[in-house]
Amino acid sequence: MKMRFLIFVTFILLSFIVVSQANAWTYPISADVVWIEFNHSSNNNSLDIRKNYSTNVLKPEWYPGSGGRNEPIAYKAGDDQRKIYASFIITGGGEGVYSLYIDAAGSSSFGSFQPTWVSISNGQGTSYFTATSWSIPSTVGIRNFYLYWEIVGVNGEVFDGYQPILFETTGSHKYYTVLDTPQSPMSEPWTKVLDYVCNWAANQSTESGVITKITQKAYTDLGKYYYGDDTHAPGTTFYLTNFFNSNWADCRDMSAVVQVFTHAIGGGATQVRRIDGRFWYKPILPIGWSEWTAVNENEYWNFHQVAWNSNVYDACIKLNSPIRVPAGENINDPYKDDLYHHGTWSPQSPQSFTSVY
Amino acid sequence: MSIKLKIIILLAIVCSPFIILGQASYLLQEPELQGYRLKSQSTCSFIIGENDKLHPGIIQTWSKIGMDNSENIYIKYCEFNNINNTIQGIAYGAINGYSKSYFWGSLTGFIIDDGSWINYNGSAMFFIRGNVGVHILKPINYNEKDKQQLIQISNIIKAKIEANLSSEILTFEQALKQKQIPMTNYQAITDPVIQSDLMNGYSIASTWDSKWLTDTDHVVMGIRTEWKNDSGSIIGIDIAKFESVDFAGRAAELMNTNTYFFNHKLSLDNLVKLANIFKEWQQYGNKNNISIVGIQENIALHVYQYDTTGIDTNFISKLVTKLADQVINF
Repeated sequence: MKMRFLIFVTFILLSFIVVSQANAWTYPISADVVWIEFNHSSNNNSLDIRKNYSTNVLKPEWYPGSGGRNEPIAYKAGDDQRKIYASFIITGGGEGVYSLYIDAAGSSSFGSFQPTWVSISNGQGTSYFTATSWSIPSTVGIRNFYLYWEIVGVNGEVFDGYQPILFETTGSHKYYTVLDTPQSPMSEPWTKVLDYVCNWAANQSTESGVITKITQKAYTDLGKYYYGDDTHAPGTTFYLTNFFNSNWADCRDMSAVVQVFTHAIGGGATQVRRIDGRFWYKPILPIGWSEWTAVNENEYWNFHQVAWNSNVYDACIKLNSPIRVPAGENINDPYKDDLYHHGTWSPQSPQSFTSVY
Repeated sequence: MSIKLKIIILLAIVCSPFIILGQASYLLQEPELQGYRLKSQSTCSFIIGENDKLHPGIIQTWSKIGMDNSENIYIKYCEFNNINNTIQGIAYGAINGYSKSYFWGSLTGFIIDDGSWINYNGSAMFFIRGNVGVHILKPINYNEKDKQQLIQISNIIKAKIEANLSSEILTFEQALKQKQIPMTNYQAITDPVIQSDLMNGYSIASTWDSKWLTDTDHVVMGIRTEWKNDSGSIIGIDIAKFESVDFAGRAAELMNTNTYFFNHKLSLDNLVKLANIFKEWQQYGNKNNISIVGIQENIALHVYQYDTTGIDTNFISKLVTKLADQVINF
């Protein structure tokens, strides 16, 4: 009897020892964020974007272990359903850890992510994180944020008596805010295009505001020189890669810039419109030129092409009286009044560029 | 379908312009253009018809070594399946395809091969030979010293095209030559004019088997001769003889629309319209180039002049009148 009691007590004591050894993690635990994927395969991810026609944005977008990768991401204005996917590795004090309760506080406009239990196996784990109720800003822009990653619980228990462990700050993460879902022919916007558009149209929240800014800034900031003897945009195809690699442009190129760039950030109503001629024009200042043209036998066009959204958006020229880049102008008054000198003036039906290379 | 076959088909589609262009047999290569490097080579499109009908091509971007993009030269090539489509497609693009029209001519004044067009300041040109069309341009900072560079490039490329013309094209041209206006007929029309006082100082500079489209399916071979004087003025006279008045009319109309953007076609037995042509040319034409197309019965005539000192319309009027008399009395 006495022997049985002794064995029982020993068993109980040994059990306590085993259990206490099983709970052997050491505060504070140290960990690293291995990578973060924003455009993941689940729902509520960031928008699909790419670097250019031939190159994707590599994922995970933030992955220091892969050559310091830190790719930009994109979200729709007002998005309040974001979810990110992250991977972690425990670097110290993690013996016996089988789950970590992790959250991420965001800086500036991006918002924070709810605490989430991350299963740990062999010191590593991945999980999706859902944003707290915080919306992406409602205007177009290019913004940056940091994420402050904290451990706030271990092995099923939220810290009680322990401070949250701030184990890593990631970023800065660059993100584009677009108006709406990107539209064809740039439903997967190029980052080079977003760099231009989200800068030019910063703080705009409507397509009309965006298209005006794109028209004006494309004229001044693209570094192009008007050349009407060739084009990068024949028919409904825009050879944007070639356009970026050269320093000249014609009217079709500039109309394509306005339409395609507007579509890239979700503006779907913008098209282009050809004005068939031949017509001779009043003095204009073509993009990149330093002198106004004069009315003479050489200053004519077989046709001219502009971007169109119920009105004219012409990023190719400046008109006179007053001097301006035409944006949002009625095609007759004042646009034709200030452009057309003589000849045939025949506006065609609006159409759209459908392919971008 | 196996994955390998799918990949092959996909590559064929992507590379089709390269395949169509005979795998670069006449594309300019780096050693051929001193001082430049081939910056890029990719696909492009030529505008060849109404509503921006497109044809695939290849574009090369050549950058001057040590310079930025402002000295780039672009060369575009395309290949058609026959001579007819080449002439019509490239001519359409040159005259109507871009905001600015090109016009019949070249940097030297001599027409290149089967046809050539230049823009108003000489920074861009088209030319055709056989079933190949070429577009050469230097959009930025074009000046007189670039002219020789572009002429050199066109000479190299046209020689390469000539050396690599397909047997089909050569056979087709041989067949055309069987029905070409005989040289004796051509000279019977032109010699009395060339040997007159009007053409004092001009000597023969080139002769070419010209191509006149009658429609998309038919080509007639003519004779084109160019004369030059010591001042650099170049006169071109191109004459073709057709099976019928109807064919001649259609060919003259196409030559009219394919060489200059304003209407410069007249009936050789009624030159009243010549004054209107000159008036329109003076208002809208390039001052160093003029081109006039005429027709009489089944003979079509194309006269053009290049003169950097400017065109004398009195001279051209007399030339066209004398030639018209010869054609009428032929």
